[in-house]
Amino acid sequence: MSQQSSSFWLRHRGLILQALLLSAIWLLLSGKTEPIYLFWGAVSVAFVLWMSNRIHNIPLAENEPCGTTRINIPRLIIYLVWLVGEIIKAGFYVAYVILHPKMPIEPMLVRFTSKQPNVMARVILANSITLTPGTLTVDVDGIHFTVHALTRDTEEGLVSGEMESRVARLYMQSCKRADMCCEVELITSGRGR
Amino acid sequence: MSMLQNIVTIVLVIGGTFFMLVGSIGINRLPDFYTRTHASGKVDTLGIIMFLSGLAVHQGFSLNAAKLLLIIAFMAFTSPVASHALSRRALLFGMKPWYGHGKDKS
Repeated sequence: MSQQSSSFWLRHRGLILQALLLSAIWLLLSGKTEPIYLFWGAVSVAFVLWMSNRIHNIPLAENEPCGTTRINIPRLIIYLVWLVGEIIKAGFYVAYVILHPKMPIEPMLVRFTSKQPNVMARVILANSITLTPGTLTVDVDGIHFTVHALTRDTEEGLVSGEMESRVARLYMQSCKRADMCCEVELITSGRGR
Repeated sequence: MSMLQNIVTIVLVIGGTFFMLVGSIGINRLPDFYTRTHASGKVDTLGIIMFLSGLAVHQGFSLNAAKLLLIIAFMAFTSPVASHALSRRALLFGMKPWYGHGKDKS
């Protein structure tokens, strides 16, 4: 019995969490608890769940449907808290660079390869790189990332592979830091391209 | 409305306005498209987040504060996507980044 219920939970975890989140947003935005509003809320949640259940079967990239992988929720929460801290640091750092009289910028493009476990991890990584201090994801092509770094310090923080392994650990039990950020190539002048 | 709530609101709103101002200064001061995207994508995001959390603190525990937090979450997710979309198009279009004052290390 418990075996069966746990496998039911695992198989439909995404749908159940999505239903809870959508209901919470409905209650938040309507702010009313009369039965008619709750009824239409339930209808809307069911409709959105039906639609997104179909979307789950559409692959994001070749041979990689997005609904098959499961994210580790406790690690996701820790990661989000860490990311908020990084956003605040990013704002302060870039504000410091802008207001510095000499503007100590040394822009460069960084190309690197990150062996992330799946498509969603790559999306999360690209989004997080943009949010963290002085780095901006310019292009993602498969496992190859092109990042614009504002100064040399931010480039060093990027290639240390800390964020890459944090993102990969959302999906995997463990990972090697060397795998996460390899084949680094810096483009610091116009001639390299 | 307690004293502490007022102080936190004022600090957050002034901080948010300051960061939005710095973002605009950065758009004017920085040399090229990509570095300007840094200014608009990150400093402005922090400014708006601080501003809206200041308003949420001003509201106290209520439905409106929760709505403001929802707006903050959406801002934090969509702003990097917008910056990425802009800079990706620029790179694919062939816009060359600025690498420094003529000091060519090749």
